Amino acid sequence: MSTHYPLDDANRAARDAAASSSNHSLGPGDRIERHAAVDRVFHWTTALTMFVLLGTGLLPIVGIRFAWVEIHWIAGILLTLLVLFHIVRSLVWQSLRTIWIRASDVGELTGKKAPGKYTLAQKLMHHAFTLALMTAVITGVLMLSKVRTPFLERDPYLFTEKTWGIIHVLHDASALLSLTLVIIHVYFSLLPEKRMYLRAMVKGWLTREELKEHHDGDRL
Amino acid sequence: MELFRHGHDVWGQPVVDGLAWSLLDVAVGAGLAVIVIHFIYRAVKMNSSHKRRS
Repeated sequence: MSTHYPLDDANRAARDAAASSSNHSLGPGDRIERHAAVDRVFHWTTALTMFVLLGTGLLPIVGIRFAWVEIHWIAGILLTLLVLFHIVRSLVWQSLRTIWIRASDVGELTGKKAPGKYTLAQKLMHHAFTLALMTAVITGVLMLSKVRTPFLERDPYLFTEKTWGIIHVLHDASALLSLTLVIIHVYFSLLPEKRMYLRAMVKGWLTREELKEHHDGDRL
Repeated sequence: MELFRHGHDVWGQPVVDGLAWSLLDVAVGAGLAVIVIHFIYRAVKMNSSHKRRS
């Protein structure tokens, strides 16, 4: 049986966890939904888009030459749409409280407090990706004006060369930060003790036992 | 180490073109450094908790 435990409904999740610890009506193997299907599709589509963008953006720099520009801007538009979708979904259907860093999260470092839905490390990773992707998307959209596309009149003189320089620096910095973050993110997702989070991002669920062992239902 | 790529504008004035691509190595190196440091920390922590249990 799968109990609904959506990212966006913190109160329901807390009640769910509290109910299970009080009446034990469900066994320890019960599945509790951590990520809804739509969020998992968003995550893996974003991941694939990121790999395409990093590959098309950085492989030519290390000497692997191919026609990368068209693939890059098309993937960039897809990433922009994904980011917009995520912003709307998190503002309208989800609770920002679950991902926001609070002073009480520091208690996780000393082991005095169990994390809520997301650990402090997961929140920091999310915020770092937010910074990198927002920078990449905003500068990338501006850089579209330098590329020949079917829907925009090409205008490389939209900004002065000095301004373009700043835009390029920010775009490059966001790409390099993304690369570092992807390396770290993939490493942590493959660690045996973190495997449950990878499973949750593939299949959607944690067991009730895992939730009780690693998370605090009252802080969800 | 150079931080930026430089070029010239139409008047021949030097302008910044972007970040220096040598920073690509730094980005990869930073990611790998986090992995190595965490892997060592994890091994030490697992070893000490294993000793405490036995």
